[in-house]
Amino acid sequence: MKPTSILKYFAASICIATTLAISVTTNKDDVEGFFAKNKSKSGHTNNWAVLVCTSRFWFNYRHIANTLSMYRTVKRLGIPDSNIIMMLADDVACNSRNIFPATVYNNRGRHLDLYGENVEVDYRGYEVTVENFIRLLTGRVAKETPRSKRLLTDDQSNILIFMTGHGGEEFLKFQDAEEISAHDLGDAFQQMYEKKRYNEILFMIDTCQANTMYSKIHSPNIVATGSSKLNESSYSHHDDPDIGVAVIDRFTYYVLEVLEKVNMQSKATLKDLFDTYDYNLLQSTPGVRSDLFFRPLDEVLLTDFFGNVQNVELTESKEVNNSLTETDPALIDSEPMFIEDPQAEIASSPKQSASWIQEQSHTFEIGNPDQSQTWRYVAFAVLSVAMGSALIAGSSLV
Amino acid sequence: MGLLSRLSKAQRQQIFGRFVLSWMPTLSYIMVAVSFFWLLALPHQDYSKRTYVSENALLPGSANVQFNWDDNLAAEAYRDTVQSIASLPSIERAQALEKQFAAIGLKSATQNYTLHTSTESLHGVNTYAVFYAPRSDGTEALVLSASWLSRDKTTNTNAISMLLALGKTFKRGSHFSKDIIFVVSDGEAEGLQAWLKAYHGNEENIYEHSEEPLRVRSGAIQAALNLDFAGTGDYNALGIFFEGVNGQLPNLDMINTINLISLGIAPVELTLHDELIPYTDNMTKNYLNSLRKMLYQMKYQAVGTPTGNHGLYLKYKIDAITLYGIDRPGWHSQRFNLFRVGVLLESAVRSLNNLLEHLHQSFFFYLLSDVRRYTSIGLYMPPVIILGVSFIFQALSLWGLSGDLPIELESLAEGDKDTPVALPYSRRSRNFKVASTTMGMAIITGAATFHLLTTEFGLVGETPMLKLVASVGVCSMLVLSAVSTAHVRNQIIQSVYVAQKSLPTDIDNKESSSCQDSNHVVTGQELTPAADWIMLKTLILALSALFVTTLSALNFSLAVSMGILIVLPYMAFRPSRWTVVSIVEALILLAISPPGLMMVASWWYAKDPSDVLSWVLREYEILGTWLLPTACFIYWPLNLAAIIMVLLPLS
Repeated sequence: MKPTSILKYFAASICIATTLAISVTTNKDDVEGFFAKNKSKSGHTNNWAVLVCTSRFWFNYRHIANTLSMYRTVKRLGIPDSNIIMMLADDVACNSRNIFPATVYNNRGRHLDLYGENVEVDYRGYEVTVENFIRLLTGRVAKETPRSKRLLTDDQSNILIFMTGHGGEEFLKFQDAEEISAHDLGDAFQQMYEKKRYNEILFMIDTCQANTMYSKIHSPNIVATGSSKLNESSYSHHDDPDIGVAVIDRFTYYVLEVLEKVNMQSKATLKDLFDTYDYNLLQSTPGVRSDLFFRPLDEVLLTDFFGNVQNVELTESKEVNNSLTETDPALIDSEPMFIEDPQAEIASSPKQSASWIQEQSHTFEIGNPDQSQTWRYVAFAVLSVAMGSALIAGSSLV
Repeated sequence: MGLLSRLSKAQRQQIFGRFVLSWMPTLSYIMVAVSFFWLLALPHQDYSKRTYVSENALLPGSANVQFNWDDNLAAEAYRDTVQSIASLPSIERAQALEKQFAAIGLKSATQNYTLHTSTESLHGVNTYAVFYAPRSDGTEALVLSASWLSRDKTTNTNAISMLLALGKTFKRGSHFSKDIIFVVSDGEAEGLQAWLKAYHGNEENIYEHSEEPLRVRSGAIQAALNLDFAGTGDYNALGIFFEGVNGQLPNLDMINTINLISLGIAPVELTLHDELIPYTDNMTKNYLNSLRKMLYQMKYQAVGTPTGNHGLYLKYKIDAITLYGIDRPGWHSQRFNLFRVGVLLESAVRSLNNLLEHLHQSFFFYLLSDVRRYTSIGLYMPPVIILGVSFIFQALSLWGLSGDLPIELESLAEGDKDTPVALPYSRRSRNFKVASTTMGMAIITGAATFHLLTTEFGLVGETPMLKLVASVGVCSMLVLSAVSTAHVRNQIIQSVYVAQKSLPTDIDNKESSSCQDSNHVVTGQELTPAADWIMLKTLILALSALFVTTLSALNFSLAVSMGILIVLPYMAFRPSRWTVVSIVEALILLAISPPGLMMVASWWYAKDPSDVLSWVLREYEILGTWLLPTACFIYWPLNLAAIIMVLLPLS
């Protein structure tokens, strides 16, 4: 027998041994669990939001307010401007018809100016087109496109896509000029899937006959929700008599009412949100589509999409905290706290934010804490000995 | 046999064709009946729909107004000012008003104009002021206008003081996307006409009209509200006038906007025009009320005269209506004062301010049977088209019968066997010379009348009435000469024909009656040509159809009234064997001729015929209504030709 073949066998055996050893010492979840999906973990490492207002003109004030409200929410829950792509006609705040120049309000009370501080609109005015939207999603943007106008996602990205405007059966109008169909949207999502541009998508749409818009999506890991079913209109919630227009739509209003009570450490799930849908409040039949989504909705955190709560690698030392078992205090709180300053909220509860850090360290720790480390070393030693003897036996046979 | 079978087939076709042709007149009368009933059904509730705001941008009455009690007090103070300057001469009161606008802080100016018509020259001074929207680019504007003279022929005091008060209110606001122009015009319509002309830089007829160019300007006018609030008192209801020059209408959303505001933020009773009709459950009464409203609109549309100064804007593609304060003491609705008017106007301006483009979503063609009910063009166009088609059917059947039959229609009807029967394909010659000459002469006469009426010759004692009498004289000369030459010509032809025919008639008869083995075909030359009146009537009917259908697209009411007036006489009348009948027909046609209708109108409105004539002339010269040209170039020539037609010889 040639020494080379002996070497080959030797190398092969080493490989097998190592693989086996690793498979025993660390279970699969330990390696992949950090990224991989399972029932309760989305497995994403970054969050993106695409917020699209497809309307322009003064009388569509409410659509711009819808979008800016969502923008404010996702920003409050931690998604940075670099990860938010906002498409907005943006012709309302500085419209000469606006009796309160350079403001956008989503409530008659006018406590919160949505346009007040640091609003970053990525696609503005006439840039809000179907082409730009689809290019954005599928990543087929021109070379010279700045980073702020690109959706730089990967297969670890959770994306919230929020759209609002005037729509109909399986279409959504873009600025009175063109329209996107449900097929276009389904196709764009399929391309995103094929190009591994997302991990999970939450598609939320507030328009007339909105539920028809997600009927043509066939790509996995997408959960979709809309404001009204086929042949139903979605209505505005209320108008501001001083501004003279409707300031927010019903669906967005009631979604926001839930989201306003959510903070970054919230354990509220998508199911909690969907359960709040009420025909009597919305005056339309909201829809949820989760057949493409493989995690149960009651284990999908709202912050998986609306927030930027990410998996982080942790140190050896772990601190078990009981806060996991606590129910989220914010959700129980039934006080209407629709419009609130997120900064103030966080500042008022430093204790809570501290517990959040601990919670994070617990939740996203590598490996299975139930397994004994010593058992692994023993198993490794036994396997190595067995493999070594097998190797010697094999070579002597040859 | 081949020839025979071909013949019989052709004969069958001829029989069929004749059947169709003989049924066509009956069909056309049925169509006329259908059309009449359809028109009468239009005011019925089942044929109209509720109006609705179609333009999303308008958002009527959704915004709070800023017009407050202080503004109301200001308006009342302005009322005294306006009253004190109202009786001054034009130039002085215009300047006084200019100062008032300037005091508010608006850029204001006056405009002199002199307008020469063929009979008079009108002079006046307009005042106007512009509120420049502080945050807009100044490319668009809205107009609020009022004339010094209300439609009640009293001073338009409240309206003018309202303009001043609104100017003051708007000056406080920063939410305007369009500039707002305030115009106080002199005279009746000519003042605003001069202002609009100068604003749009229309330089035509520079010798006839001279208006001072405007010194203060703004952007393209998007919409206008004309105010007519006479006197200084309160009002019971608000009337909307919307009919413009030549039947043009503003976009229905203008009316819908006021409608919604009057139901919400500024509750007032709203009605069309100045008629207040009590509510009733009675179907018949409702129908009659709707009919009355509709006829009111159609009357003004047909005549082409606007029901208020708003009508002038429409010529410049500016949607406008007049709001008229109806003061009817004893009427049940709650009376309202200037405060309510101010709120309503500010809210309306706020709505129009929301517009992103010209009003275009709602209807431009409609009939209103109530301020909240409309009949759309899809429903009211068919009857007038049916009317046009009935003319065409009648003309076609005449045309077909005139060519197909070798014998006179009369003898066919009487079953006269002595006249020759034509073989298939034989055609009687149709002579259009007389018909076309007559029609041409009639049109030339109409055109001459038009120029006679509209030109000033500078002769002593020259009046429109005198000119009209002269043209009537010319027309009657035309009729007389045409009829007499036709009769003379007819006698000559007849005598020549009888001389030619005396020999071969018997042979013709024999051969035609036993035509199986005959190769002899009765040729066109041997038959008498179709009678001139048939040709003329065909031409008249065809032209009537053309004009009625064409006009219906431009001015429905004018087309309908013209169609209804002429359809039965033109279809039924024909020369008669008895001269008396022909003369009666001619007299009826004379009654529906323009001079005849003028006499009827002057009797109906208890006015002097010359007043009616000068009114028509004035409307044409100042506003450019189509009534006079239509009457002279279309209606009268057809009428003249019809009179000649019934007086022509029978064969």
